[in-house]
Amino acid sequence: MKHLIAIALFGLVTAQVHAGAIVAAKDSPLEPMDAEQVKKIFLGHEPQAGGQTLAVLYQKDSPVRADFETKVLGKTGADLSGYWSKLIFTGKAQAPEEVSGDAGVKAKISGSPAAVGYVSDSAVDPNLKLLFKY
Amino acid sequence: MRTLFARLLICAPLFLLLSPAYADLSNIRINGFGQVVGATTLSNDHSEQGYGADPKFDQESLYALQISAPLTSKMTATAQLVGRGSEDFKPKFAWAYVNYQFDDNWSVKAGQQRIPTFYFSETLDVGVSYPWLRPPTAIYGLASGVSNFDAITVSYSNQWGKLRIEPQASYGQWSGPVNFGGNTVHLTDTQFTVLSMTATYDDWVTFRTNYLSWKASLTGTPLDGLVAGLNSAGLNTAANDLAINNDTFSVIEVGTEINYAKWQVIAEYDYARTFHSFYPQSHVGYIAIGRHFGRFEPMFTYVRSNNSSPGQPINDIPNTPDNQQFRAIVGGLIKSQTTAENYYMFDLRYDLANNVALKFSYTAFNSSIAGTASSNLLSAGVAYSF
Repeated sequence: MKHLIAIALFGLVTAQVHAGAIVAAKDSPLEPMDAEQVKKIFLGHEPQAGGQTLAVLYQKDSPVRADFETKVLGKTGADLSGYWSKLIFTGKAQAPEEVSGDAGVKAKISGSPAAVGYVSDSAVDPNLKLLFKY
Repeated sequence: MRTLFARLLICAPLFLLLSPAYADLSNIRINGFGQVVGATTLSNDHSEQGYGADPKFDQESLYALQISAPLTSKMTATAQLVGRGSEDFKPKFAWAYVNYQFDDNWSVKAGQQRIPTFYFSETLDVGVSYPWLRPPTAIYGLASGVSNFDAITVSYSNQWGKLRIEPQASYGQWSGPVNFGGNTVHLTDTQFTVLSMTATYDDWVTFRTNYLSWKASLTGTPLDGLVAGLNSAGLNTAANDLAINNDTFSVIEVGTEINYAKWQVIAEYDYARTFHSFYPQSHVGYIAIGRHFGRFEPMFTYVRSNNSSPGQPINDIPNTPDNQQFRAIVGGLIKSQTTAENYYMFDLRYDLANNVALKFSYTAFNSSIAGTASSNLLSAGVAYSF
């Protein structure tokens, strides 16, 4: 029984570690959004929001990225890469900018109201506007 | 149009230098892709898609570089240079356009673009974007040579719940050599109209339909003599129904792609015809089924192609003793356009990395017309993007 509780607790803790959030700058005109809109923005189908052309940020290969792709986009790895190559090389969407880790996303977002990215839950701070949690 | 566009392209770097808002070079995106493909037929007696028994590596190998620069927050200039092994890897513009994004729904693209005739036409060079080593040539070789035009494209995109609808209309022109029924002819300022509609549900089911039409004339082939002969015999209607003289060529396509769980199903069907000419009408279709096993994806594709020439020119020639020779020649020409082909394709894709794919392909081809050779083609390649 103790083991079961320990496993259950461990499960909760890991789940929390891997939770993430879609964020923008504190003064961004972007409003909180639902899963469908997040998907649209990060799959290149909504180039503009809040009256401006969005700068979509992806993290370079990291557990945070893998988690975001699995839970929110439903496309990962080579599948997602192939998907983007179709959009980029036909001019249907601009390639998202890739930055390093939560810190890279936060650095890019500060001072850029059009930037939107994903960070791990623990990286959310008062300088960011929380748009969606997953 | 190209000259105007070329000027805009030249101006783009100036914009970047002069405008402090866009002096930041990080706004310029550079991406690229390429592939190295080698192939050989397994029998000595028949060539297939330009390959023979000696392996060749340059025919389908290519590299491409795309530079995209924002001119304003809504306007972007993009140029894509492609160097093909079949053209000694000399870089040529495949795409060079300015895109204006009015809002989330509407955008207009002006400049040199790929003609979106078939489902994969716009990304035919981008090997990492599809599962095969090469999409079925029975379709993608139709009207081969015509791949680009200088055009204006208006696109709309909107989403209702999980359903996204994307109609698109293009109008443009193109000049250049094209393979027309085995003859290379030069098209001059040929006008193209393309209308398409794409519907996607929840990013896993896509349905696309497309209509393409263009007008062309074909001269400088052995057909000229026959046409002149018919005309001088007073058989003008037959001559007109045989010759490709400012005739409308049209292609209607329906295509679908389904990615469900680990399964992938792709199918396309095309009906192509030229009105008032000997040129055959084609019915071409395929169905492909693949499944992902980790980084591997094997895929099987069955392709069927039927070509038949309309019998009208021969009906135009009265069955009189004087006309027997004409009827025999025209009848022979029409019959020579009739083909029925089957392709069985076995493809294997292995993702070495997210942006690098190793591909193998075996295609067996046979024709149901008596006396036509069967053949097979073995290919291997690596495709990448960055």
